[in-house]
Amino acid sequence: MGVLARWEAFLVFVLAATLALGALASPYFLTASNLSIAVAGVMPTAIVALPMTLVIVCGEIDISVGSIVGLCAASLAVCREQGLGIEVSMLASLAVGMLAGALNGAIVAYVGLPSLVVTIGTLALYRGIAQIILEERGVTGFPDWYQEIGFGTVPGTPIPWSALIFVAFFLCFAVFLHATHRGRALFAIGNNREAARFSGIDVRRAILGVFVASGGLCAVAAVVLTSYLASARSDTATGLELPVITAVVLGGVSIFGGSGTLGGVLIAVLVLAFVQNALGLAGVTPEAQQIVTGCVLVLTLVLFGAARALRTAALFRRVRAG
Amino acid sequence: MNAVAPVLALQGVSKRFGPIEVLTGVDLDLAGGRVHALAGENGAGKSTVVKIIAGIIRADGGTLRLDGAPVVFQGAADARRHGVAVVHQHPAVFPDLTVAENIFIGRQPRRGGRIDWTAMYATAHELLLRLRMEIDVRLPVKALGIAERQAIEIVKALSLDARVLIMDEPTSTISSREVDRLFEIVATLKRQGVAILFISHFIDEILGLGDDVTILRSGRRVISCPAASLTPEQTVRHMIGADPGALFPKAAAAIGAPVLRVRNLSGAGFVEDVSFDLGAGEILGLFGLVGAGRSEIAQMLFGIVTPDRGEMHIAGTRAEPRSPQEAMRLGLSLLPEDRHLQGLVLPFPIRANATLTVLRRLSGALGLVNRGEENALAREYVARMRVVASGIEQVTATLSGGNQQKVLLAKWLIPAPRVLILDQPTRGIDVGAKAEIHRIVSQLAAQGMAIILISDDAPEVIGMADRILVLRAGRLVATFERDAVDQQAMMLAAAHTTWDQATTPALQATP
Ligand SMILES: Nc1ncnc2c1ncn2[C@@H]1O[C@H](COP(=O)(O)OP(=O)(O)OP(=O)(O)O)[C@@H](O)[C@H]1O
Ligand SMILES: [Mg+2]
Repeated sequence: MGVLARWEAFLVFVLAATLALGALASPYFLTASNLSIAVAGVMPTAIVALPMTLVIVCGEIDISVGSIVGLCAASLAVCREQGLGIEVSMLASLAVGMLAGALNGAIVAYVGLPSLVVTIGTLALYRGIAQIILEERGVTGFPDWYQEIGFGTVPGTPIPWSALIFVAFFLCFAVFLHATHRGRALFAIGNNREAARFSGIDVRRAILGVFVASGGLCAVAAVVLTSYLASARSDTATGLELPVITAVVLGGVSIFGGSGTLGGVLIAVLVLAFVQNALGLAGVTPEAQQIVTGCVLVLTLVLFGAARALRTAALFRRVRAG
Repeated sequence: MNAVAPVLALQGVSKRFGPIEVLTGVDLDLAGGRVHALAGENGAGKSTVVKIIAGIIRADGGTLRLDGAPVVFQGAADARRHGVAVVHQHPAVFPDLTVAENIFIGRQPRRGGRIDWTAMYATAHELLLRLRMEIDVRLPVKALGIAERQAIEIVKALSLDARVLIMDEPTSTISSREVDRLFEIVATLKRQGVAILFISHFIDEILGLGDDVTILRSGRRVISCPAASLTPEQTVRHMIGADPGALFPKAAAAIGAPVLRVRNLSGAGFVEDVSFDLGAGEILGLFGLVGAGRSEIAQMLFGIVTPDRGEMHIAGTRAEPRSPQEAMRLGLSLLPEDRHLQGLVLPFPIRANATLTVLRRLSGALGLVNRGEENALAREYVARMRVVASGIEQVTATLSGGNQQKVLLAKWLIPAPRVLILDQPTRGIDVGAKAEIHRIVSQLAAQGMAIILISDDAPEVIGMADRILVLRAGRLVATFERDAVDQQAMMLAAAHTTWDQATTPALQATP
């Protein structure tokens, strides 16, 4: 816990530094409208990072999130093409997302295959299905209120609607993970699956659960992203898994499972958003932006991760030696 | 105390973790050809001494001398290069590697630059036979029980031809037969001039095997003297600083109606037709050697292993738990034998481990954990089990072995089960705390709890149980009633296998 608290303090410092550097790079950076744009742009990543934190805390991983978002977007589009109302289409897409997550979870939990392998497989599978059902078409023509979700702001404020959606889910997930017995069970599972099982925790159901949550929130992200892009396509959110997993790990969640907080992930998501935005304002091309973002991430992880790894190794040695 | 210059010596060694001083100016001399027994309560600092010698942690003050010259080992490999072999209290194994690979890790026999597997398997097999452990050396270690893993750790140290052998509670997880063999081997090493440090909570082992005895209390040396000059009573008094409570204080409890009824239980590969009844208020001892099937029976009852055959009735109703959570709903608790693998979430604070079994019950609407209640419950049991810790938020991994065991006990007593299965509950627990645990268990029985007690500690089973079932190779071979139990006969029944007959002329029972 101590290490984590220090990690989050460090992230807050990084966030402050990012804001300061951004302000130096462009006078426009610290304006409400710019920050609002930066935040809105990162919301799909942030939304998917919530269940991803749960998955990783359990010691699992979900590589297929980008494809599930794509599949959900394609489902939404197909429903619209069939003339269904937007509400029904959204519900259908939610069902598809949860089903896709359930399939991942069932294979991992009940067949017992490693989640890395399973979700690499379904990454290809779900994207493939999305492409088959929607092909290269882009579906547009959404109602006005729907268009507002991705880009619009709460009237009279610079707060994006998508940020409100995120905050609502963030609160639910944070309470679930850090204050309920089911959340505690996830940490137990991530640290010592055998002891969790011996303690009467239904490990398999818990793992199924986090994958279903992952699929469900991918559907939410698909709705937000489709609205943000004003078009539903089958290639929506290709490669989304990378920024999502980066945010979770940068947020201090151990990739080996068993530790981390959603607060850390929240700050990490904001850091990512502002770094990218500041670079854009400074005229850095998207390609170069990626390089800089990558460097910042690797550097932070190396700087702080080294210290943490040493600490963990020391603890681990002590643990093993009794 | 002895004329010979010590091979390995600690002088004024101190160590603190944060604000807590766990060792204060400890001196310890290990002479060649002598066994030095190190004793003390749980948390007294014994394993800390071992870890300082092994170079796993660094002392804050004092020196370690090897042949008179100050040294600091940089971990196990370095210690080994200096001729010091260490058996840790919790063996660090590589679960996916084979038994043989674990024994020879980092020093595999080679031929022409490649690992000589044949030689490695053969030598490993031979080494294990020295401890009279017949284990398939090609199995991955994760397939083994804790006793076998402990044996691997011991065998690994024995095979190093070390000048100094440090053993932290080597006998707490292996059964009497292996203990006898270990002591024979130790005697041989002694004759060869090896200096040995031996840690144990068993008074007869401390005084019987040790030539010299050092007793620690709260990180200070209280006495260091020849074993011959101590009586068992004095030893205990030095350890806990007071007279111990009586061990095995099983109160006569009225045994009520059968709570658990087991018929023809078979499964887990070799358990065959085990049947017994367990009444309310009864303590049923399950005795046997390592691998006799005791833990397997416990795990079948608790829904971890699905039996092939057999029936189980709880309070007259047929029960077929298929998972621990179902078993717990039926009112069963199982304290598992391996506290690190099956028992505890080591990075959790004590509180979270203690309450893990009842967290759902401590949660209100929406599953929110009531932290106030949780803290109170954890505090109550930490006090009751006398866990030596800085508080309920101390990380469980940083507790001493015995104190971890007490947390594990708390975890399984807190659900207040109808049937409590204890698999090696007092493993690694000091005399004082052991008496306390026996008192608690006996009290629970008196209140009507039905208890199954699995233990390698024959006096413990005999002292606590109303009835003892002896198992051998998965079958029930003998039953002893409380008034008619005979330790010799019980040990014989447990050990009398064809393999034993073939290789051991006579069987010694532990004193
Ligand atoms: N990393 C740590 N942080 C804080 N306290 C620690 C740490 N490691 C050990 N301790 C404390 O040091 C004390 C001594 O522990 P040690 O393991 O040496 O006891 P021990 O004599 O071996 O006990 P046991 O008989 O139970 O094995 C304990 O109170 C333990 O909680
Ligand atoms: Mg110890």
